[in-house]
Amino acid sequence: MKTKKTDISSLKPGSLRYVWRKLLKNKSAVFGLLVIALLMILSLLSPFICRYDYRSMDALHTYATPTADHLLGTDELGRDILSRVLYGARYTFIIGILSTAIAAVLGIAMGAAAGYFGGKVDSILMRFLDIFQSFPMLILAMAFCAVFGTGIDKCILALGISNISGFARLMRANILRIRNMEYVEAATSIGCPTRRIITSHVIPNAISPIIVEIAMGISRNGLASSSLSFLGLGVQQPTPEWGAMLSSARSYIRYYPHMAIIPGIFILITVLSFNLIGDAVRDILDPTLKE
Amino acid sequence: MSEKTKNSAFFSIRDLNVQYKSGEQTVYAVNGVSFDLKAGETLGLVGETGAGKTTIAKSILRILPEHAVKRMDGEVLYEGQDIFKMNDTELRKIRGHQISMIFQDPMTALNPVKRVNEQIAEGYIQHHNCSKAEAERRAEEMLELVGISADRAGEYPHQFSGGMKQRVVIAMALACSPKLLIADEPTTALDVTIQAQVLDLIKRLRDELGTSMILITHDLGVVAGICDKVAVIYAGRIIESGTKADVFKHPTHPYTIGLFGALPDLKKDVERLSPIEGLPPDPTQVTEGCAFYPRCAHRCDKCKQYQYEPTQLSDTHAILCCNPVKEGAGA
Repeated sequence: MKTKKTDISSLKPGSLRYVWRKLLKNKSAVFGLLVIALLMILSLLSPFICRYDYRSMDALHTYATPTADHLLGTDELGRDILSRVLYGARYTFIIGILSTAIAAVLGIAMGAAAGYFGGKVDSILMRFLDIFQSFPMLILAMAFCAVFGTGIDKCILALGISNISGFARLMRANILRIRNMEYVEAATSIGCPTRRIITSHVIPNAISPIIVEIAMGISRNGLASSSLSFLGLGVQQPTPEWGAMLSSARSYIRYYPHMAIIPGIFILITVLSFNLIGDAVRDILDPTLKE
Repeated sequence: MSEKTKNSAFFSIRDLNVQYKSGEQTVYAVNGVSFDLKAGETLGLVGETGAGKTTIAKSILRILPEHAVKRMDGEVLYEGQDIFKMNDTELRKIRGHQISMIFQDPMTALNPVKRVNEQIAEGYIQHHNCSKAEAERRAEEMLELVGISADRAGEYPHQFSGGMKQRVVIAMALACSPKLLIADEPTTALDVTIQAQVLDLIKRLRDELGTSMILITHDLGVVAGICDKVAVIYAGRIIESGTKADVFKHPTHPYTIGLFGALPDLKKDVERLSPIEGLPPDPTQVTEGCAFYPRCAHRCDKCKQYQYEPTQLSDTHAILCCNPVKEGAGA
């Protein structure tokens, strides 16, 4: 019964193991996974592998274009851009992942409650979330940043809260579909308590579209964190967050474009990789796209 | 049904009414249904699609979707206790443990993301204070009992065929050895050869476990094979009820006679079957008089004022009809 290497056909389409197995067969998803893994590893190792500390300034070598000494050049204070960009990757990942996690957990809980219980619970929760949804996400995040203040933790919180309504809506729609399935009635008919029906029958069947939303959410929130930092509301200088780096490079873009282009390229690659994974997961979970 | 001593019946329903909300309209699904069941007996509920059979079954366990139900009253007495008056905890003790249900469509009655042994074990864990391992051993026993090898216990529903899934559903319903089993058209979604196997299985398990059963079907042949008593339902009312012999040998209500007329008889050489003309009435409309009047081959003017006073033909045989077909005069 319990074999280590199960055949893919015996896995339930839509289960996490099935998605993972299929993902490894998708070239662009593997590319995305590799890029993200590589960036994460380099970022964690950057204090040990980079020749310069990301904070150390060098007044003699400011605005250097890429050379053998500074592979990606230096900024206006003579800080090594390669060290800063690699170190800064951790902020994009941490903010992207944690804010999506906050949004997903709260959104799933609220959406599941609204969908399963319906009626008043549904109206109150969804009207409350409508208020959030009536603002563009970035504007909402900016408003939260303005209230909470700046910094990584506040940035995570702001992005997390602004993303709740998307998850809640998606979850609610799925729950509505599954709540009326006969197996939910069957579970009720053998004496399962409501809590167990929600956690073990309804949510596991409603979760697969959420996986796509999570992959997309990480890239969206990573990008949004850079936007907030660019606007001076997220992570502050001298922390080498990519958006903050872009923001400070803005003044020199005409003479030293590499200072802006390099963090820009890293933002692009990271967002692209997460989107490739998200797209692949969506294709895997879409039954009409089966070969 | 007339007054019977409540104590003698192990399960009985008294004046069950169920109405649904459908937009602005009210759907009158079940209108004053009563019946009794003695321990060990099997009752067949027969009727067309939409007659209210499944609603009766689901209201027994109170698993109708709450948001859709407008009115649900009456008494459902199980060993003297009224299920409609129970709180959630008492109700959960009844569900699955005392009364359980086999669903119509095995394709949707199993959770697609859970292994079958987990699903069978689930009810057992709820009702017996036992470990997961013990419950899964029980699940394997149940699978063997319904004719599925225990090797397949760890598989998912999509790896089973339709007939096998229905066996799993049966195993799930019987895992806690309930005293009353409600089988809601257990063979409708299956093809004919599998139907026979599943019916044999249900019959064998019922006899082995001594379970009482309410079998819901639109197939009179199924009723003939399994049931002790029959109740024919039309537009949410039991229009004829009695023992199998009462209803099969002496059908009296014009609708019941019509049902038998629509069955092929291998002994007779007829060119065409005689179906009941017309369609069942719209359940959102309350009609004056008998609901079967527009389709009835034996209607008369009295029928338009009929108030559903039951006619008792014998101790066991009752009908709701003001102009019944006399013996021998029917089709």
